[in-house]
Parts: sequence; structure tokens; C-alpha cells
Amino acid sequence: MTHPYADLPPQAFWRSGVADADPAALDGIYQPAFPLGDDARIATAGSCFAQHISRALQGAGMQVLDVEPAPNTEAPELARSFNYGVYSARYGNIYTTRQLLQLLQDSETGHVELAEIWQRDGRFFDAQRPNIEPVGFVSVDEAILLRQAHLAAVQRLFRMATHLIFTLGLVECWFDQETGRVMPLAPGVVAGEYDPGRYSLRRLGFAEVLHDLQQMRQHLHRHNPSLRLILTVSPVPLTATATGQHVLPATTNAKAILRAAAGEFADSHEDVDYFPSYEIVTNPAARGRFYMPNSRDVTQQGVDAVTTTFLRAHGLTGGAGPAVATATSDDAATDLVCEEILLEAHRK
Amino acid sequence: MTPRNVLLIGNSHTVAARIALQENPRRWPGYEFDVLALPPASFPKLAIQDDVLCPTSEDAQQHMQRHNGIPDLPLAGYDAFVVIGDPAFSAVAQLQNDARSFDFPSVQAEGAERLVSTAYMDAMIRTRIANSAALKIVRLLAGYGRGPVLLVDAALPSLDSRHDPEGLRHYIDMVARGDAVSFRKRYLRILTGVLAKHARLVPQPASTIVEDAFTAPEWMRGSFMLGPRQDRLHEEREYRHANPAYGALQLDAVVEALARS
Repeated sequence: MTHPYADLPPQAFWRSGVADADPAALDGIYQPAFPLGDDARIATAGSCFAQHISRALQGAGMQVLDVEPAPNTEAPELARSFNYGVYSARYGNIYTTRQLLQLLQDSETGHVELAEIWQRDGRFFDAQRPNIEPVGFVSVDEAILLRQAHLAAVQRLFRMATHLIFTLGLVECWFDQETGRVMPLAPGVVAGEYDPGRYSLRRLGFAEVLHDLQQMRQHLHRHNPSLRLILTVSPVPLTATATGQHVLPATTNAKAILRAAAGEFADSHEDVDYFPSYEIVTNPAARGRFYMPNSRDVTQQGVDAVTTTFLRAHGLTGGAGPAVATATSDDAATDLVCEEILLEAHRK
Repeated sequence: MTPRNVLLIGNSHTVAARIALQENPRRWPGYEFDVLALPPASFPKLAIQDDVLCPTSEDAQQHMQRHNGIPDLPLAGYDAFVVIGDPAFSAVAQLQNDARSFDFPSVQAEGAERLVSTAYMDAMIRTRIANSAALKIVRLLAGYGRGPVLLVDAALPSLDSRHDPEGLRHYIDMVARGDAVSFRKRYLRILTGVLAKHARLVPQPASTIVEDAFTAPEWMRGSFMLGPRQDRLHEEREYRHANPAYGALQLDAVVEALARS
């Protein structure tokens, strides 16, 4: 007598696939839909966790594009504090699908929204990347000019990339009712003024995220039809929620939406892949060891589990253990550039 | 009381002052000057131990002996310290060759290929200055705390370089674009800020500056090289080092600054 489960591999069963397996090296958890060849030109974007993936790829010798590099290499720490080399362009963290879609649209039109230049103490901040300049710009004109230069660089990036790895982080964003645009942080957190009559919280639902992903793909393929997309979901919980919910169900809700939309989207397109960062880190068999004591930031062990799984699946590590250990076990999260944490810092 | 026992310490730009002192020792009555010259790479390898300035690496020991004929230098007799020759404006100006910020006149007029923010440009200049060999020795001497520390910046390139820009192309181009004046003001503002806690800046004598960006050739032609022999002239196409006549002006400015300290 046989049945559909009789010949399934060990990873199809919870006990052999998860409970009795090494959480840092789960067999068969990721089978790439397409290869990352030596000639791949990779763009990275997404929420804070995406920085780990970007570094791992660089460490493995892959060509991670950087269309806005620092002008020189003599002060790497300074360059990093101005967000040079963090992602493939100086867009900072892109937490939502809507934010990335908007960026792609802006990069095609060169559109700069004047209302998105925020002021604080005589300095000016780009609301779409509020942490990109630690002390802000000296004038509105400078902020606009540098945003225009950034948009031109983003356009170049997505026309030359062969792959985009996008880490989905949040579904909550701030909506400007006058312009119809979203922002990663509410006005007033880093700069600008919060007007509750104008700005409101927007929580993207499954259908909206899926629609954004479809629009993004269309945009990307308009000028670069062979571009492939690798989606992953950040395992980092929300710092805070403005929905009125408890932050735990708000996190579960957000991650469920992102995970489901990414999976659905990847299943529907041969040129889109899903990589399970979220699953690797939140695996209950890891018994919490992939999270720091604050139960939010991911430990270096967790980062290594994710990046090693990805690199090995693409044949990039040569089986030599963790390909990239860029930080000690305690500082995996602290050296990330992450605006979201400002919500906690600015708490009354 | 005005400090009068002065140690001049620096790189190859100390040679002009050293020869000026030899040629005209009576020009600065009441002042005693000693000159210690080392290649810039040796500055981070100096330490002060028991009032003695000591080289802490083999290379620095060799340079100390080769250029000064001494293994180390007791500091107890000095009551003022003057660092000469670095960070030169012409070297810091290399930064604007790779990228420029919105406040550059050329950017306002024509835009720029590589644009950075004003804050980032300021930060790059600040970092370049703070990491210079001169600032390392300035901090060391300021920490020693036995007298005022002055920084004498290197002279601007000779006007002669404009017709022979090899090696100074970035500088000549900056001048041609109309960016030199504002960039130098910016450099001096940031340099003064970086020095603030440690030392005072002795600026280049205004009478030697032409076209706001160059040193008049009469203060540059006939400069001498750093080395065990002191009579070796730089080649004619060397446009960064000043001659002993300029060295004398530098010492005049140092004496004036010390009198005010």
C-alpha cells in the first residue's frame, strides 16, 4: 500500500526537516529558481536586514552593484555614516513595496516632491531617505539637486542589474493625503512637522503588496526585461506600530502579508524567486538563539544561517562554512543603518 | 611671557626656514630656534617619553638620524612648538577633484558629474586634515602641554605651476573652474576648527599670495630639498616648496604669533 507521503524527502516532514535538523543548515530549505552566475550584476534593496545579504554577497565575491559609491576610499567609516556602500544606491532602507514602487516611478520621471523636503533646525532632510545625510542638507535646493542625482543613479542601476534582491520589511507607512505618496517615517520623527489632517498611517494589505510587486516588475522590465527578482522577508519584528494594535500581532500580521504576497508573486513568475530568510530565523527549533536578548535584532549566528543557506544554494561558498562573518556575535545588528529604530529613540 | 625657545618640527617644508635661520641668524633676536625635519610617514611613529621625543619604529629612528643627526630629541628646553608643512591646501584640494558639492561656484554655474552634499564635503576635508601627519604631531605636542603649539601651513603652489600643471592638474583645474577661492576659505575654516583645541594657525603671509590661489614665484624659485645635504636645490619644475626667503617670512609670522600668545 502506498500514499502521497510515502516517498517524500526528509525536509517534507517536520520532525526530520525541522525538529531534528540543524537550524543553521536546513537541508533543502531553498532551491533557487534560477542561478546567480559569476556574471550576475546584483542590486540590493530593502529593510535593514537586506544589508546582511548585500555584505554576504560581496564577501562571496559577487558583483553587487553600487551606482553611488563614495568619491574615495580614504575614510570608509565616514562614507558609511553617509550611507555610501550600504546598498546599490543611496536610497537607504526601503521598508515597503509601495516605497520601492514609488522610487522606481520617480527614477523614470525625475520627479521630486517639494513637500518631501523636511526641515529641522535650519537643515533639510529628504523624507524618502531621511537618514541618508546624518546632519541633513544645507538648503532645499541642495536636497532637490542631490535627490535628482540619486534618481538618475537609480535609473541606471535598474537598467544594468541582472538581479534585484529585495527584502520586504513592513506594511505600515505614512500616507500624504495631498500628494497620494507614502513615506517610510512619519513627519516629525527625524524632521518635518506632523499634521494629522494631512498625514495618516497606511497599512498595506495583501492585495496592495501583491499589486505593488506586479507594478514594480512591470517598471523594471520596461527597460530591462531580463531582470530577475529575488524576494525575501525580513525576520526583524516591528520596532513599533501605530495601528493601535499590540505590536506582536501587528508584526505577525505584517510578516504574514509580506510572506504570502512574496510567495504568491514568486509562484506566479519564473523570473521571481523567494528566499526564506524569515523562516530560517524564526524557526522554533532554533529556540530563540537567532535573536538577540531584545528579541528583535538577529544574532550573527542567525545572519550566518541565512547568508550561508543562500550562498550555498547558489554554489557560492564552496562548502567552506559561513562565507561571511563581518561582525562578532554581538554586533550583527548594531552596525546596521536603520531608521526604524528612531521610533524607539524618539519615544516620549 | 613670550616663549622664546622654539622647536620647529615638520616635513620637507621646514627646509626653507632651516636655511633662513642659517643665512640670517640675527633676524629674530632673543629667539632660539631648532629645526627637526622628518618625512611625514615618521610623524605617527613619534612619542614623548620622559620629556624626550623618541622615534618608536626602526624607520623613524633611521630618519631621525639621517635628517637630524640625533637619535631622539629632549624637549625640556623648549617653550613653544611650531609644526610646519602639512596639511597642504594643494593636497586637500585633491578631494574636490573626485566630487564637488552644491556650494562650489562651478556647480552653481554648470552642475557637476559627481555631486556630494556640502556636509559630506566638509566632513571629508575635516577627516583629511585630522588624519594628516601634521595633526598627529600637533596633538602629541599639545598633549605634552609645555608651551603653545602653532601650525604653519604649507605655501600655496607656485604661480609657475599654471604653465606646467603636471602633478598639480587637479589644482590648476580647480582654479580654472573658479572654485579655488571659496574652497580655500572652506579649508581654512575647517582647519581652524580642527586645530582649535590644540594649536593656532599661522596663515600664509598675504603679501606672498597672487591670484588668491598661488604663491608668487619669487618666494618659490630656488627651494632646497630635505636630506642630509642641505645644498641640493629642487628641480626647476618643483612648484610646492618655498625658498629660504619665504622661510624667513614664515619665521617672522611665527615670532609675531608667539608675541601674541
